[in-house]
Amino acid sequence: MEKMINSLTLEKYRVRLWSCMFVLVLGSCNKMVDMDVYHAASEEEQWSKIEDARSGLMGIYGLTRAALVENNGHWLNGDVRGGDFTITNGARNESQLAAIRANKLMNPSPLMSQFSNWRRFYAAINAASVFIERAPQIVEKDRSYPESNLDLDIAQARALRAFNYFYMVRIWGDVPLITKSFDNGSFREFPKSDAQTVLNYAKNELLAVLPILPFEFGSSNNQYYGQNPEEWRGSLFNKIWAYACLAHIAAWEGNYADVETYTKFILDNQSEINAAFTEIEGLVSSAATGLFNSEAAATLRGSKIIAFNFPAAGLRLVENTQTGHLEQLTMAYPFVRKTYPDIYVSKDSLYSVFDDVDDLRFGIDTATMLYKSNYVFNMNADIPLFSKIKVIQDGSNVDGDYAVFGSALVFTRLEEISLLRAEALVALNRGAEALIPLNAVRTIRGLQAVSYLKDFGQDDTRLLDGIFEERRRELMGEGWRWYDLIRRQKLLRDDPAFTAVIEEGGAYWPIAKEVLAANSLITQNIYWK
Amino acid sequence: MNVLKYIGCIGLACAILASCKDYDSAYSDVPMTNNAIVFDGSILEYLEQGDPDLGVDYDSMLFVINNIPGLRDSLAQTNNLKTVFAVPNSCFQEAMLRLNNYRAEKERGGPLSLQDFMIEPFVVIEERPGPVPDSTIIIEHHYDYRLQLDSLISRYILEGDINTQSLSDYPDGLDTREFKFSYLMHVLFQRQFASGIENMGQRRIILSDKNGTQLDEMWDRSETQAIDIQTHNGYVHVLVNGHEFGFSKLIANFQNYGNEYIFD
Repeated sequence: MEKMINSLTLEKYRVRLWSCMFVLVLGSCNKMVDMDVYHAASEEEQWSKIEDARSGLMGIYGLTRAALVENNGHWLNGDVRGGDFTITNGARNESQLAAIRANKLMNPSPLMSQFSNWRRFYAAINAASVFIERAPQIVEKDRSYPESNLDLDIAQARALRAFNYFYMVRIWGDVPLITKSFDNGSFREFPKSDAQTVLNYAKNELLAVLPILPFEFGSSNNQYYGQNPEEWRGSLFNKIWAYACLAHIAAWEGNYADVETYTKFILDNQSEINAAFTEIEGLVSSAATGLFNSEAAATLRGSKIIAFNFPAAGLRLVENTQTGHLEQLTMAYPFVRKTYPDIYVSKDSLYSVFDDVDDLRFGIDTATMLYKSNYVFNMNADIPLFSKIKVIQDGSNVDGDYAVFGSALVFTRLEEISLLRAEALVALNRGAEALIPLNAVRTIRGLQAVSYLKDFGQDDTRLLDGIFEERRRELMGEGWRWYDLIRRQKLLRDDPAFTAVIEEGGAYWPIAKEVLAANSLITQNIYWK
Repeated sequence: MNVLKYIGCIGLACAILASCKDYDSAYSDVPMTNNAIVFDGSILEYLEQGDPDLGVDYDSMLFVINNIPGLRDSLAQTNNLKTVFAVPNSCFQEAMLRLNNYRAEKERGGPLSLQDFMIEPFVVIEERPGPVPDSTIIIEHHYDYRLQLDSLISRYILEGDINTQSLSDYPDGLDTREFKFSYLMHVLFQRQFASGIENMGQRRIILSDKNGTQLDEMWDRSETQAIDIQTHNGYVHVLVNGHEFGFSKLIANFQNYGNEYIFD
């Protein structure tokens, strides 16, 4: 009986206790959420000054850069998936790298789901759309922001958005085509658009901005955002960049007549943006005399076509990062404090890919009779380092204890455009003409000029193979191999298994689970279902 | 109840013990333990026997040692300790393949084997027209391929007993000279990074051909697959199979073999 009373009173207390707690919890709420944000600039003030325009525009470049280099995606997709790189035993993320190399992309690891998520690209695309919609209102508010400047900025934003769409189509095929920012709090679901529709949109955007985009931004007495033209060289979307992007869209579609036209324009007008073929020393140098240095000398900057830099102001490493560079995968002792690289080009591959000992990229030096260290460091180790791109910190001679890197992502350069032109000419049955752009690249790399009759027997298949082998040598480590293999296969069709993979959509990435869960209109790519 | 608790404790302890794993990774075959492997015999006997544990043989290295006068004798000395970096056969194969490929591409003659270099020194006399009429300049070209091979193989043989214990005193590596021609070499003992655990990383020795320069990016380096093999007259370290014999210098030395009479 006594026990019962006890438990009853306990019960009563418990109820009181809980109600007290409940009242306390309710009382603890305050209006925090309703308060005005005072530590961040508000949306109304954002688009009112010329500085806002500049930061908005640079933001698009930054987000595009981030989309390309996240988790070193540009190189894992281009070079590792293409198969020229071997994965070291015990490398960081070894199983994921091996899965990418083997094109087994339905891997449940976080790294792979980040790769298959296109959010990073839509961040850049949305930033561009917001900029295009909101930047015009700055002209009314800030008289130091002239309309001519606005036109240039919007043209760049549209070109960048088109470039992002092209890059996404290369990865996923069909993607949602979103051309407005929908910056009004609504979260509409978009279905996938056909890849061709997206590419057409990108093409039309680029063609529309071509007349506006200049070769160089500003002049010394009419500076663009307070900088001389050479300061902007190799970092802003100019006319040649737009042509390069158009040429690659056309090549991806197999429309080689357009590729021929666009590449001709680029090669004819290269001097307008101070672009030139890069000597081997300039290609592999890590200092400011090297093309891949983000702070490359003014004479070299123009040669970077569609490039994204990681600037450093001397040893103040402003934007240098650890990830987002090929070096994170390929560098090791003695350059940085890491015993072995994650990926490397095996000796067997090197000897078979670089089959000419006179090759300046990887061959025998005529003076010392040793292997050149231009592309590869130390052939005496089991695992040689792929050292073509090795900008440690700002690329000056620093030790690698603090391993952040400063290499720029160079999407294309004149050598690549030249080889693309050769490819287009062969595809258009103008094989004999293709020898000129091919030999232009070969001779600058120390190789003999080849002849259509003697070396290829006027056989376009062999010539095309030769062109793609030259691309393989020249562009190793620059994120091209996988896409080259696809274009090569579409032209030559000599590997039925690979042709089947391409036709079934296996050349694309699967779509991330997060995307599929958030948007009911999106379906998984057929090959990966 | 108590008994159950004890059993539980013991079980837990067992589980924890069993969960410890060996840190030997796929990175290298070099064991972490500090104990030297003791080989009962001399350096030469070790090379002759090969290393069945590593699956490597040293026939080519022995062929070179046996065919160059004096080399075998100096390795047989018991009063004078030596350190030998053993070069597995695959390193010779690779180096000769590179040399022969280069010669084939440059049309310098047929494939060569190590045997071809074991010839006596010879002199080629070249006569050129002199600066004044009816005069000739006589140039003597001296060739000694065996000596060149001798200088390459000697780079793997160092004076004294160099092992991980003695190398630990040189964090930047030991500058040393090879035993015969006093050519500058560099030996670095390196512990791989073991996340802060002292003396626990994987170990390797890096043998570098300094190429006559202090700039270490110009050196040719080679790693080891087994270290600290103690023999009666010194230490043996085994280079990795991917090393190229002669530190890639066979082409520089022998590419013109057989074309000595062609002047340009």
